[in-house]
Amino acid sequence: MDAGARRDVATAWALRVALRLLGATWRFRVDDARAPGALERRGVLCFWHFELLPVAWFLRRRRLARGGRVALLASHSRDGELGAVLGRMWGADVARGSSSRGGSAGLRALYRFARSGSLPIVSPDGPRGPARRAKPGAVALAQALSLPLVPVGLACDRCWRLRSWDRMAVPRPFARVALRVGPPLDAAGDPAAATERLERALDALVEVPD
Amino acid sequence: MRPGDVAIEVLAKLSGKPAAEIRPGMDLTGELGIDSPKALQLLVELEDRLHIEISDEEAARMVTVGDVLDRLQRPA
Repeated sequence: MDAGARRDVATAWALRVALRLLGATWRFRVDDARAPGALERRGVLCFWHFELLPVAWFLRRRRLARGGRVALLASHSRDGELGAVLGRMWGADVARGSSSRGGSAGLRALYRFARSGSLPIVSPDGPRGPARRAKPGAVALAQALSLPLVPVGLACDRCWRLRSWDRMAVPRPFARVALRVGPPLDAAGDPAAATERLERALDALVEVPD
Repeated sequence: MRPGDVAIEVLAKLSGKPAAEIRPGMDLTGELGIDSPKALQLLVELEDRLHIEISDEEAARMVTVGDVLDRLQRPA
């Protein structure tokens, strides 16, 4: 393992511990009133990239820790490497690459994981934005798998917003945090129209202070 | 089965066209209806059945059936 890889592992460990400590203070709930039970059914789970930390925290606690499988996509960038190391520590299936294009190698790996029973999760504006503008990968994946898109959004009363491209949200200690689950969307039909529907559905679920 | 035959078989399945009607000059999107989701399935099936790896750059260069067949002529 070279120095860069050791640094990534150390950073991922630090992030893991920090997220565990911070997350333990959150007053967290899943709000699935719009789509009861949607998280338990098969689908492609989608969320905006800025919501990554609370979504990852939720998936770690509520799915991976209970033996469920989750497949995520991590880019080849430095941030992506960190996400990949952290994801593997948590036991997630990690595909490397981008979801920007329909047939990209990253999406192919995610497709294989999903076919083998893992829950695919995608932030359709990742890995580099523009923020809250969906690229076609999530819809292509859902269509190829014949699965619906399950939109998830963050509601949080007190958040820090980082200076990253997506203005990543970090709920403050003791914040009220809700993961809102929207009704599953049929990805079939015109991909551009399905991508627009996904954008609207994701935006409708967000309630985070600037 | 030769790699080219595998490709034609997969393209026939995804496009709904008979294999005998698929020609090298055909445009994957315009004539065979291989959109993004089908491209994803095509690439996965070719990689899995032929034990090869197709890079993003190679995938982006696949515009016609002939481009797919050309890629399969080369080593994995």
